[in-house]
Amino acid sequence: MIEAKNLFKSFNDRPVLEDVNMQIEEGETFAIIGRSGSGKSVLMKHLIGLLKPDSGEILIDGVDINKLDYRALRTVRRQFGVLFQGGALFDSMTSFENVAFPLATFTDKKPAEIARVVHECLEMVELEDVGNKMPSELSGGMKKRVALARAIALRPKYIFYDEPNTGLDPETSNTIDALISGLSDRLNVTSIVVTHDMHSVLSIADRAAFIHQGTIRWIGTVEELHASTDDVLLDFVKAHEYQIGGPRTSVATNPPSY
Amino acid sequence: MRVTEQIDALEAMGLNSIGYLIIPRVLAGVLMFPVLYIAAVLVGVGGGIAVAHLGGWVPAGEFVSGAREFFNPFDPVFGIIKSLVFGFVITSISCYKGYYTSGGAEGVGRSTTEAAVTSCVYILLADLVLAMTLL
Repeated sequence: MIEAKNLFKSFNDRPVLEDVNMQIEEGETFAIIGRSGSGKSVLMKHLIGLLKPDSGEILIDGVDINKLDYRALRTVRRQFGVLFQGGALFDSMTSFENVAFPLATFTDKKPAEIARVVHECLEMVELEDVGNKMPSELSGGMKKRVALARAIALRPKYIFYDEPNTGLDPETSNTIDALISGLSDRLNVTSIVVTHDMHSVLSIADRAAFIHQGTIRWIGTVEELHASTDDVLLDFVKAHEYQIGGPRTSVATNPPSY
Repeated sequence: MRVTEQIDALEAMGLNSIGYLIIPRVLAGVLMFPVLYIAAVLVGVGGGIAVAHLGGWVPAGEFVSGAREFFNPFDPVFGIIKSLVFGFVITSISCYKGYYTSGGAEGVGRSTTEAAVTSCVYILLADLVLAMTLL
């Protein structure tokens, strides 16, 4: 279980997270939603321990990762798989080598065994035949899928997704959603998805937290989303509905209040 | 690697990114700069002999005996010490600038320029300190 307790963080005296509290249960797919710049990616980097809060706790299975020394923190991180926004594939390595990297670094597996696991991971993301390609030869969607294969190579307990659909066409975006959903079931992992794509949230998440101006404005199950009476949350949810066929004038006459 | 989140990816995997990325580069610089220095000296002296001899100005034998006359055994030792220090200065400054770069592609360009300029300044400073202490 992942818990954030009374989390505060500022950059250059500008508060980015203010008293964030939440719990992510084992096995669920949890979405962190909010507008661009609301602090959701910063929150995710705190959960992985890439950023340290000014105050507050991040508990991973009851252990406060900010109290751990660097070596112990690295051991905790080996339970994590992270899909970064642009994939973050190592550009000096082929797709195969990228997926093999964590296996070769952190396990005692023999090369033949590593090759078998790599092929299995690439098969899970439906990209069996790109092993020899360099990241620069892959499309945006393919990069994310190879990065996802790398993230699941060590069979992590938690997978973090940072804006998995950003920059992808709707069809590829749906493919990524289907992969996230499929992997959650197949590997029985806890998934944390940072996104502003409501379509994605509604199709894959069990629960969601809506971050607004650095605080958690709303938290609940996806079914409860539409029943919410919070104006700011409803504006955010409706903005997505306008995008998929609502009256164009509605957007113009009801601009978001930044 | 910083701006494309590759360093974050290494850290998120549980790897010590400084140990993985920077230490091998600094070690490579410290080890290979003396090799580069020796190669440069050999090419420089060899080129000098070839041009002087083939150009008909100074015969090769006379060139070598002249060079021996002014040869100070400490000079190549001092050269190797300097190359070790410069190797460390250039790689550590460049790795530092690269590791902490920010601001996308533009930031990478800025960090590259800063790394080159800072390295040049520190090479001059290191040269001054070494000359004052060892010569």
